[in-house]
Amino acid sequence: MYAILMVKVYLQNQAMSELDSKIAMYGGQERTYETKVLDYKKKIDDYGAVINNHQISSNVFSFIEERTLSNVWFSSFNMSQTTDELKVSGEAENMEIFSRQIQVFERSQDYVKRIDVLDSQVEAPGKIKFILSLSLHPNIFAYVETSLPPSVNE
Amino acid sequence: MEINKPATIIIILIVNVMLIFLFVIPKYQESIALEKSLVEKQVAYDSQGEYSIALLKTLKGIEERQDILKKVNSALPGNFSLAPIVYFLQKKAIESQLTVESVTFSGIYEQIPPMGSNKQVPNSSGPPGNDQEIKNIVLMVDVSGSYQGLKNFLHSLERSARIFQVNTISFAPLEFSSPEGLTSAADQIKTYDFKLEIKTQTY
Repeated sequence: MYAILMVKVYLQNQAMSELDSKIAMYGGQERTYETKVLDYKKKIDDYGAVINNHQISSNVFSFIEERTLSNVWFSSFNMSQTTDELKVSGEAENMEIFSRQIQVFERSQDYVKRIDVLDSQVEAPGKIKFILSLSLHPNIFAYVETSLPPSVNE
Repeated sequence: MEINKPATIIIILIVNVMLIFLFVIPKYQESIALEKSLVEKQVAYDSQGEYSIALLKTLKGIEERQDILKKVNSALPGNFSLAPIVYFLQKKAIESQLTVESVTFSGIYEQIPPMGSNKQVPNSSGPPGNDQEIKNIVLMVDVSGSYQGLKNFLHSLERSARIFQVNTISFAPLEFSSPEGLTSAADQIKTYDFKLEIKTQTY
């Protein structure tokens, strides 16, 4: 009986060491696969995060073009996407058109948080030279051309 | 000599019982314990096998999507190299009929989580290492040309596989004569000096 048990234990020990070596072998493979999968996962996650946070600055041009009155001209443009600020200088045909232009921007509250007139000067013949500072809403970088807000004259 | 049979039988029985207690029972217990361990190991081995197969399937599934992997690798290359970026910007500028006046490398900045944050921390260690964290490469690009050219340039950057983000845009006409608005037809051919701060990512 003791001999039988000894043989059994011997065979069990053999089976155990075989299993151990198999597990170790699979473990190595598994770690390689795991590393590769996790590497891909991280890259894909990072890509997703970069894409989700990607902001399209050129949308600001579409926004400005859509909302610029025909008798207003912009001559310089400074936009910082990191501070969400836009400073533009330009000319308007007269004071009335200039104030209408400001009203158009003010009505776009989804995209413009605040508008400040940094400078305005009356030039001959009645033209207004101005510098505006617009505090932009981050939404503007996802702006898609839509129908304009109702005109201030409507 | 006469053997006391009952006494001998009792002694043999006692010896047998002692032997059983000393050798057979421990061996039997060892065998039972080993059998238990074997079953546990077999279960672990089986589940490890299943997990390995599942991992391999996932890996194959990912590697089959080479189109997506190419996009990801283009957007987040593992090696930092300025030359292909400058070449790409130059090529796109020419296609948009803009003239590249200068491209200045501002630096590499570590991206701070959460990734929505625009704040950056300068990375003093220079080129990206092997820690596989996203870093932002910031370039100052000075181009000249028409307003329409700038729009085309920005659109081509925004549509490229490598992700470019324009942090700042500033421009003014090179020669300001009569007032021409950004939206007027004449404006489309006027020459401007555009200064752009462009950001792209790398590991």
